Amino acid sequence: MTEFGASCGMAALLDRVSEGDQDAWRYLVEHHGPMVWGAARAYSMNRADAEDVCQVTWVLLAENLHKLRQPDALPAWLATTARREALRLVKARRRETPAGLDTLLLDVADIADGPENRAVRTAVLSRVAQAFAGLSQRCQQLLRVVAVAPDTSYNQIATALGMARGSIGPKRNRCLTALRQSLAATGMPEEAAG
Amino acid sequence: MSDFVPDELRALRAVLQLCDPVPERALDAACAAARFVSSEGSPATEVLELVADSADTPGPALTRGADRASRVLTYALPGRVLEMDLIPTVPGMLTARGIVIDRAGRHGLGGSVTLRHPDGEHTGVLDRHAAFRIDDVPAGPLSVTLRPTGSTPLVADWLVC
Repeated sequence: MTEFGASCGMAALLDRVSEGDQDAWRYLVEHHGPMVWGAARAYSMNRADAEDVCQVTWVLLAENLHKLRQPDALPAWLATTARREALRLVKARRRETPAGLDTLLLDVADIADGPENRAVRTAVLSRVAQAFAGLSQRCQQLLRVVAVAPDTSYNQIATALGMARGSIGPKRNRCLTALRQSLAATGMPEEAAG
Repeated sequence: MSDFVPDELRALRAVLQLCDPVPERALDAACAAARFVSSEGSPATEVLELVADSADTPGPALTRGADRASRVLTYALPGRVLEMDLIPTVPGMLTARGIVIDRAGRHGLGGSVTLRHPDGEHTGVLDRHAAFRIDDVPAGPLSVTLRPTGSTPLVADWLVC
């Protein structure tokens, strides 16, 4: 993975992809996959729909690679495509709300490791999940992308979510403040959240 | 973006990684999409443009003679349109029914329609009314290809159905 990141610009990387270099394609997926998933999941009602959105995004890239005029615009293209396809699918499903985490809480107990930590960890994660689910739709979308794709730039986040670039930082801070206040309201000390 | 990660964001990241991680299946599917890469694009094809999607109109679309919501996609090609109903049958499966007509509502086109999905494709032949039916289409990413007899194939972009 680092082979491409360190030595290869985006244009050269896409050249290798178009020549059928599987390792170059895999690098693209590994490097941008979390951001595509974050954008898809932010607008999809469930994981199955988000998986379909991710898959169609990558297939669209594969078939339209030769049309990409600005290689450096690839992350924005991926984010825009994932959001557009997710929104299209939401319309088709006649659903209007974003994915919440409340339906996933039952999974936490099964995944947490170590019986001695399970109860505490489950309680902490459940409170974080509940606090997240109580945020506005826009805050959930923004924090989800920021959380799952920490390397994503504000420009890419703005593109993925259809927000003004200059508003990402302030909105991120406001949403984190809202999350912090919600956690405090449930009695969770700040150090426990970390 | 700042390297500083607030506690709340780290906690949220942990929740998402535990409860809602990027699925391995999604990454595998993304890697498998490499087989659709073409440096020159699809050879000798034209664009089949999606011009209407019932998903964009309010209220459920009910297909003729069916009691379950279907999705209607309309594609434009020179002088004609292809209209297709995607009808849910069993969970995860669709039946596609459609017709190719000209602007005056006349048919008369021969050829076939192929629905591509990531794992393969299904084809239906246009009958004498330029209608087609394709059963057992898996729900998920799909792309429509129209192959008029004696003419260049037309290919639509992928979308999730």
